[in-house]
Amino acid sequence: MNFDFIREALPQVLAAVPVTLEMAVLATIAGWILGILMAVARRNKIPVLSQLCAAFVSFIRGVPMVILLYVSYYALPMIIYSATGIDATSVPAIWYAIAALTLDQAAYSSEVFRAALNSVNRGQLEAAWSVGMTTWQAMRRIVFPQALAVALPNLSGLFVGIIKGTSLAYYVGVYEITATANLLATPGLNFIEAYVITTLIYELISFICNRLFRSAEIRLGRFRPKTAA
Amino acid sequence: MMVSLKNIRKSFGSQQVLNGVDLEIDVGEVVVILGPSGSGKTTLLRTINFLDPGDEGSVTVGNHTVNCKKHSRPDVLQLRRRTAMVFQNYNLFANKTILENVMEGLVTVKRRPKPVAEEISRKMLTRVGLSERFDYYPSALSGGQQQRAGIARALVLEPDVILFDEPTSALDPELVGEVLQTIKGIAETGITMIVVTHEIAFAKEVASRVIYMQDGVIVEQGSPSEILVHPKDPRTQRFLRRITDPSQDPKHIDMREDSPANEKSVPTSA
Ligand SMILES: Nc1ncnc2c1ncn2[C@@H]1O[C@H](COP(=O)(O)OP(=O)(O)O)[C@@H](O)[C@H]1O
Ligand SMILES: [Mg+2]
Repeated sequence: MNFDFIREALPQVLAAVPVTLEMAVLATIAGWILGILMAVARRNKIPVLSQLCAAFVSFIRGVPMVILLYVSYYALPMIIYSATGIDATSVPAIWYAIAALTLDQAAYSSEVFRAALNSVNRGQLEAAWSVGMTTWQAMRRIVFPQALAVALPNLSGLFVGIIKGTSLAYYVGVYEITATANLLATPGLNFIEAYVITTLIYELISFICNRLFRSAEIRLGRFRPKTAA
Repeated sequence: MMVSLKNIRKSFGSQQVLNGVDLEIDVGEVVVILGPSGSGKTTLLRTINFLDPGDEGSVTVGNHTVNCKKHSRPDVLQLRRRTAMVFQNYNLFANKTILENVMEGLVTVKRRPKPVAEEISRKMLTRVGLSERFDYYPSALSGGQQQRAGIARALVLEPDVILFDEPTSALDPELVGEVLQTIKGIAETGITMIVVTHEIAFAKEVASRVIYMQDGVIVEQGSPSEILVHPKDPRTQRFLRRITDPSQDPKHIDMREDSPANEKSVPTSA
């Protein structure tokens, strides 16, 4: 074990953490918003849209993340160019990675949100209607908060999963944690040391995320019976 | 006239559930609706606030009339703001405390400032005997307490009419009394109510009018003594015989087919 290498490389790999987090957080925000919209479309059985969402989910789930990244990186600029005439090849690779990660999160989170929405019994929605609330008010104030409490454990898993998923952005040349460690390891063949560093960093990030989600779960789940811990 | 239903018809698929119901209810009336399971009582209540819109007919509450065939969203919203409903399964908002449940409609629908809504809601909860439970979540309350909170949630909006759909059917027997007592107290304040229930004693004591429904139509209606003591229609007579038979669970009386298997000599399973 080359400790000198570890001492030198660690700060540089740590400096790549924001890149990883930026990809994970942006893709999560965009992906979950899409996921919620798809879940609502499917729950309300909106014609055409509902079927499109179902097809999208099953398509994305069947494609390896790496392929999705390549498709996004190589095909998206072409699609954008032929659709709008805008040359997107100068857009930094990280945005294509974020796009791919977003699609992935949208597909998986929509299933989580769908199950969570279904877990809120329809009677509460009807009660909200019966007091004169609009569907939107009922969803925002009654249904979504409960669905979110149900969804959080799975969402937590998705978020930790996407943090690890960002390491694949290496394949399209984004210098996040894994790519940076690899780059530093190559000249001296310090790969074992580099992987020790990345493992520790990913573990630490996952640990912190799990704690954050856990405390959000407790806060949002206050209303649930105490036995449901 | 507080509530007026004209020729309400409703089908689920090929099954005709309401076959042209006409009903006029005066201000302050307490109307109890009786009838076997599946006769369309719940559906009738739900057509009044458009949780299930009728296929045909019209609904009037106060001076607001909505045609079932062509109703707009604002129409329905208006109607719902003049009515309130108490559900068999309470349907309290699980993510809100009892106090927040009662405040919800005041804040989001009636746009009352929060402190005002809270004050009114506390008073209402105290009235239904829940002054010690303001900050409890529904999951921490008994069925009877949840239902009384549900009643407070409906009452606090000062609706023109409150619709009760079997408010005590889901309760353990020892909790039925406290809820019926609460409803009786409300009836005495002069608010217009429509109550679907199987509690005959309650109907006798509280109703100003009793309606017997079967197969999606009103079979007969009149004062409690006319319907409950001297019913004219044989269908009403048979229903009352069964419902007062202690071996029968009134919730499961099904008289849609008049087969002998339905007669009271057949013991019901536990
Ligand atoms: N949403 C629905 N979809 C299909 N059938 C329904 C629905 N709601 C009620 N029904 C049917 O309509 C009939 C009347 O139901 P309901 O109004 O609940 O009767 P009651 O309240 O008198 O027991 C029943 O046969 C029931 O199965
Ligand atoms: Mg019913």
